[in-house]
Amino acid sequence: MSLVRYVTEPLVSENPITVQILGLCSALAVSRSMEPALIMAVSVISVLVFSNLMVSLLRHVLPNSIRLILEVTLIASAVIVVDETLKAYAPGISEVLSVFVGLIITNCIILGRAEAFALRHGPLESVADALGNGFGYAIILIGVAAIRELLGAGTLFDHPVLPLVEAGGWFRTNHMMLYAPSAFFLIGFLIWAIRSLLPRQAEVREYPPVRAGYRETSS
Amino acid sequence: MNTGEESAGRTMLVAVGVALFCSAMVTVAVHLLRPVQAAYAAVERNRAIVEAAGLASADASDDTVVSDFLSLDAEVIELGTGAVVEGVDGYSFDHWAAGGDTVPPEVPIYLRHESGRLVRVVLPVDGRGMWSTIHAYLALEADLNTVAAFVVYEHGETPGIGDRIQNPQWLSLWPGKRLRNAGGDLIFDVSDDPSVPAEYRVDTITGATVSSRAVGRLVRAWLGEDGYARALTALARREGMTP
Repeated sequence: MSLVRYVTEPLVSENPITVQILGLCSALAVSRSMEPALIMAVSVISVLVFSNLMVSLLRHVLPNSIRLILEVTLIASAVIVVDETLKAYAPGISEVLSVFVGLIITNCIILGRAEAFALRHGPLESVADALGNGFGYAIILIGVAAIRELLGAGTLFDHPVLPLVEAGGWFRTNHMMLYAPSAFFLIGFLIWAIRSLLPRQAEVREYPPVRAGYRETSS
Repeated sequence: MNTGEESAGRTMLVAVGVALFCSAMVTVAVHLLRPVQAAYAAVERNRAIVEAAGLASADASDDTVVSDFLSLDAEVIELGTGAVVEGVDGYSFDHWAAGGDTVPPEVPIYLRHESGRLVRVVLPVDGRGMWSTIHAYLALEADLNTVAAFVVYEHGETPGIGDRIQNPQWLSLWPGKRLRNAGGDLIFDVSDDPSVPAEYRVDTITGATVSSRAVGRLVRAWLGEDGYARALTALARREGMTP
């Protein structure tokens, strides 16, 4: 597979959020408006590139018994550096993102790519894969944030776009969009839309329903 | 992936190597970024003071904030006597830098004069919240008995819950509240007790009861005999007012 495909595949057809359903927690929490979403996306991409690169470079040295601990150590250090950088150069955004920058450590996409990809590929491919998955995450995050900010506040990047009723316009804000559940709905609709367009992505039912009216309660 | 022999020694070596690399990376980053963060913190602190003094708004530019801050008169006072400490720069004096729970002997206060007359005085206050030390500024009107503003500068209370002590709606309840009654007794409190007259009382916040009560407790402590009581009396005398 060429390097370019490593970058383009995860954008839609192998998107970490809509196909692999990874990294949802932060996608729900920080997609309320564009600016924090953009900064969050850049932070995740930086950490992802660093961790994939380091894990790939160390893939022949990492002892299996403590492999995960070392990977998490590398990821956590990168997250601290990113967090401190944000505190220095984007302190306002850093306050908005609060704990979610620190929680990048537990973002499943990052450890997932390190384990599934970087351990088996060279540094160049790993960086390409990190960029691809980072951009895939960023597209969804920023897309959802755009919809939420537009419908929830009538603005984009805090610039008024839709004329509000309060200011004599016609647009009434949808407050539900400002709360995390709306991101659930939006991502759900997005997954539905993508899987309708690309039926290949829909998972095969693993087992038939047991009987009519019976609802599966365990997952 | 590594499939070869794994001796304990080699595992240790890799672990130590990765740990040293990571700690070096974090140390260098933090060391380089600390001054930038400190500069930002200083501006934010000035912003809180200036906001309490009623000059710049919360979203004023950094330059406005600093020039407004320098337009105030900063003095360092000795809490025990209430006297002004001579020869100390009040603008840069930081009694919070040392941390700790004890009340420092000397504290900076910020006076806003307009055409020679005292308009507001801004007093730094701090104390234990629910989890964290709350740092805030209490501004008093020229009568030194009426709250002009209360601005929370820094706290580590629970995000979304205890941080409602920064809610503008709640903070807007503060201006106009009285501190002491005609007899000089400190009545002011953050409380839901209706026996405290409304003009001396800011309501506690539903859902942030502990944090908001803590704010009331620390403000009362700082206004008492161990706090600014003597300094305010001395200030009233210096400004030529009857306290």
